[in-house]
Amino acid sequence: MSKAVLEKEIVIEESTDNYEVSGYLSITSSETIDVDVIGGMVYLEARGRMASKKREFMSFRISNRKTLQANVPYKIPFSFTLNDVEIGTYKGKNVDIAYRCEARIHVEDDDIGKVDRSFFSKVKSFVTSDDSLKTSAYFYVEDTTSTYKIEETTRTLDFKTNLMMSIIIAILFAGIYLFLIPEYNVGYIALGLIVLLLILIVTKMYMKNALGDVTIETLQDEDAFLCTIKKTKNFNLANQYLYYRIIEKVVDDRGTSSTTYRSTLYTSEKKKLVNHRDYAQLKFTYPTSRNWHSNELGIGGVEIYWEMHLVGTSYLGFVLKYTTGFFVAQRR
Amino acid sequence: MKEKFEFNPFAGVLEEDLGKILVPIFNIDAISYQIEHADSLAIEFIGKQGRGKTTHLRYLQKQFNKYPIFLLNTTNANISEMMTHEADVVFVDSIHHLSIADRIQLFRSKRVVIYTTHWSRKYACVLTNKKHYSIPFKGITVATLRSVIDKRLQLASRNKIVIDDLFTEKELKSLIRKFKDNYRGIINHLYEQYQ
Repeated sequence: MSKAVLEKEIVIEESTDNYEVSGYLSITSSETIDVDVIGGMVYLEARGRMASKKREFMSFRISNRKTLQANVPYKIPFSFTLNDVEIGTYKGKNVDIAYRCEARIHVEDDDIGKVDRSFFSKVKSFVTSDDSLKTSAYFYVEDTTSTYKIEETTRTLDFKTNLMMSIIIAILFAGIYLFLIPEYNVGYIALGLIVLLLILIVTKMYMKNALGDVTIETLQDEDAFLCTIKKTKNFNLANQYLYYRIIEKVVDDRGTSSTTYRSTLYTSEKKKLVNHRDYAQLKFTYPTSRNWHSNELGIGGVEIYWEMHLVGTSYLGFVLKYTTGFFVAQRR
Repeated sequence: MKEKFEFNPFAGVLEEDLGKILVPIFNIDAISYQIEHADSLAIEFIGKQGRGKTTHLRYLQKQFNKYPIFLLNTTNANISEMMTHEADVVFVDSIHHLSIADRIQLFRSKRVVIYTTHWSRKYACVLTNKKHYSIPFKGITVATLRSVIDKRLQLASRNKIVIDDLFTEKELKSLIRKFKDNYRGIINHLYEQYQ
């Protein structure tokens, strides 16, 4: 008697915002065999530029005991609801998060020897450790209804070091220092580096104090948000504008050194601050993509965060930047 | 091409799939024998980052589930957990996160220590009178790279497919020219291209 070759495929037809999922398992056996049970497993998987992670999410039953007649195609429908969903599916630049539905076909013990296993390979296995046959499909739950809600709070922006200005200061300092020191040796070079570092720190502190603190207050405004900037009178940069960015952060901790990847998912419109004295209020819209809310995604090393940027030009022509993170939740 | 694959073949692999994508650079059975029978031994996986040291270490440890693996980093490099563990064989990733004193203490107390490092820890072995065996993770060939890539493509494929030379020899040579033996650099580059 020839061995039974099983052709099987799992298809997810629909996955809704309410996390109701439906699909079917199509299965055809070249020989008649008895199946004890067909179980379904759902996993949440994060795969990207990091050690990928998998979490068992739920299990359900696709079919009870069944006889598969030779060469008769069977289409077994199923449906399930994903409860207690903490993490939505997500297609990012450095990571994808998706659900995987796996059907496990447990052939009757008496018939397991009849199943052809010659097509199994070491790399791509279609059989589980408990001898059941498996087939699986990935699916994403497309979010079409949720919106965003900003955390209503006040935050102080951080003054960022200007790289170009630091390089110019370093070159000027090096020129003067190397001219003044009596000889080139390790001690003098180390001393020079320490003094340069101190000069850069003091310069940054001086500029920060001269410009004064800048704070932003965020407020939800229907399907957008308002950002009120409060500044001191000394804050006199030219060409000031404000925008926000949504950033995907993935920490790749594979191996002996870790690397952090940051990719910008979205940059908002840059809004100019014109003719304002102590404060200005600007309105920003949210992005059309719906699942970019601030989220650590419950998976180690993967995070989405929002950042506000205030940019201006000093009277010496240096572009100076202030930033702060802010929190945006998902609103269902 | 994307329709052939369930996920980006160049993404990091799941713990359970490590063995399926690994192209061993040493004889696993010979090393395993040494781990079980040596009186006092330190096995060092040495090389720059991205050469496969940690992947090999994690895979090897999976063959010896009774022995623990400690994945050290800047925030998690406490030796006390290793010292209190009853096993006389330990796997340590990134041993450079331990101080010299801690490394010596570890080498003295454990029969076999298998670890990854950027720089040789031979002198700690000399000080503790431990036999030292170093496995360098260096170099790359077109054949090995093809094997690494093919295994990943096979793992991510929707069905069992024949990988009909998706990458030509010229393309593989070009990757090696650009990234040298930095496997992770190559895989990350391919991830980006695919994504």
